[in-house]
Amino acid sequence: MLGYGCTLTVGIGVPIPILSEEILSYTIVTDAEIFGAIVDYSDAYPNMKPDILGEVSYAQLKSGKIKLKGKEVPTASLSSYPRAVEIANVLKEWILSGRFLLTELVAPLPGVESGITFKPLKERPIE
Amino acid sequence: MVVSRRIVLHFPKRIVERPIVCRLVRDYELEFNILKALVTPEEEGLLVLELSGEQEEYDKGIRYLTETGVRIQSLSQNFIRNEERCTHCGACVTICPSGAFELDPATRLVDFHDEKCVACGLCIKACPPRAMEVHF
Repeated sequence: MLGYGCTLTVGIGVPIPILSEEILSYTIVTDAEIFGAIVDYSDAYPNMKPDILGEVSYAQLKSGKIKLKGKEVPTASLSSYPRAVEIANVLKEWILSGRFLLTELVAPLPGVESGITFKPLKERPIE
Repeated sequence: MVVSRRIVLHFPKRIVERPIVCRLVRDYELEFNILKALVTPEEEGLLVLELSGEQEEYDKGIRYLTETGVRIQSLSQNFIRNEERCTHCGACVTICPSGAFELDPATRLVDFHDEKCVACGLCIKACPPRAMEVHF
């Protein structure tokens, strides 16, 4: 893709230990229950406007087409699902063969309570 | 039996000024649809056509082109996917105006049907790992 600089395509295999019913309930969420926003890349996104055109579920996106403002719009992915499955299977093999073990946590990932916020990128011309 | 093929024609400098394609219609009753044309005087000319007609007349037309000095290639030889680079990310699927890329709903692997390719070139720039290659 042009205009975005270098592209780094990274796949990460993350094991989720099922230690409680609560964790289990989060892992059995289906594609139909995961939602993403439809964002306008022509105006809203480059001008950092928060408006969205709607929400769609991953099930709808994976079907190959969605309906937006009465029109049918084709959809496809931008990241590789087959490669993600490959990585997941490598991790699975490591776990099954005992080469990847569950350990005590090193440090918790910061949540909302940490007070860490994201700053938007303000593009400035090179002077 | 009517056949339809997508072909790439290279016209060497010396014949670029001559009317050649119209003879395919006049003498062999073939139909053509121009998918791409690069014609510059004094340079090699390039034409990507979808050529169709009766099998026998089609073969005669191709022979006429070859005898006239036109180099012919099947379009599928020009737009290829580098299978080692392709990560099946799917970026090409919705870009292609002729639906030449098909996403398998079960495996999520991308299939490239080169017979549907119309040589527009949109996938070349859209492909993040640069797996789509054009060789004219």
